[in-house]
Amino acid sequence: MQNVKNLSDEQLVVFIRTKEKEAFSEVVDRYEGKLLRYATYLINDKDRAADVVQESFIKTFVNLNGFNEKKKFSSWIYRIVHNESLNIIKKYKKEIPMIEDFDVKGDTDLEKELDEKLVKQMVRDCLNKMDIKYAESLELFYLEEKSYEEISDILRLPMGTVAVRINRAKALMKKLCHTKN
Amino acid sequence: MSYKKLNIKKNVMEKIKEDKVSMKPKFYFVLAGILTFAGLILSIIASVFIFSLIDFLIRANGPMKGVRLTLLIGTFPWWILILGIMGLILGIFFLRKFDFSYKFNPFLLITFFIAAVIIAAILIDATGLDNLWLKRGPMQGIMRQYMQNNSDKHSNFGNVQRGRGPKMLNQ
Repeated sequence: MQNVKNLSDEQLVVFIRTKEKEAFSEVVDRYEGKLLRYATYLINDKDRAADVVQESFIKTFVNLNGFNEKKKFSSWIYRIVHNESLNIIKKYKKEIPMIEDFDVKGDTDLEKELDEKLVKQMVRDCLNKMDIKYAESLELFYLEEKSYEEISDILRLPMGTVAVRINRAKALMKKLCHTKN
Repeated sequence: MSYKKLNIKKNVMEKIKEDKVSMKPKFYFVLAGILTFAGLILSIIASVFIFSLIDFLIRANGPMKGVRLTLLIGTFPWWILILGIMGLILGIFFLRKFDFSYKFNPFLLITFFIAAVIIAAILIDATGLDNLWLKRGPMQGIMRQYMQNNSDKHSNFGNVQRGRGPKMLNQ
């Protein structure tokens, strides 16, 4: 098998489509962590987020021939997870569990780790109070480090709307976190 | 989270290897694209002609004032208006399916689309292009029947001049 690790996402998609479908495992390797984090932010439930991500990978594979390789693959796959997550949110609208723990990478001392946990918990609490349309834009911009253009492609919104949502979300965040503390 | 992570990859790849899931063929997406485009074009054409017909019917019933307004409301084929609106909704639905559509403000896009259809309809009625459609197209029978009924009720109804041209509907 060709060394698929050196291929860009878009080249990898072409390779899977035309040569070896089992190379899809590389797509899973590249995106599993990011998508799990994104879905968990949206759904607030790790197990359901894992189901969403698994289902999204299957949908990605099934619809791989529909992907235009001139566009960005990451935006496309995030879009699929976004849609799947929204379906789950609608389905379980009344249950909004809080995440009990966060993964903090390990070699820091206990105090630092606790601080990080606390900050993350505070951020999460603030985000939970926000309308999902603002929280999601903020998450994509700051936590997933996506550009306005990518967010526009993922959420299918004009770039101006994305900018407005991020600004409003920042203002809301300031207000919510400030009130809380 | 690592346990789930292991499971996701395993589950997905198992389904792929065992052919429990397969890629939809390229043809499927090409066909979907063609059908969406055809749907958009057809709904635009239908809406434009239906609105040009509405424009004509409003003029055929005379200026909208006094007694004529009652006549217009009484005889107007409202189903045409409903068809026109359905055509517009369908057109907007197809338009929103295209990749570029979300790059624009949806309110402006929809307003522009409706305005373009209505302006095109008025222009087509003004130039009398829809006359050909009424004479030869699928609407011929229905419209002739409608105009015939109305000309029986109101003796000069069928002799209304079309658009800006010297056309007569009941020729």
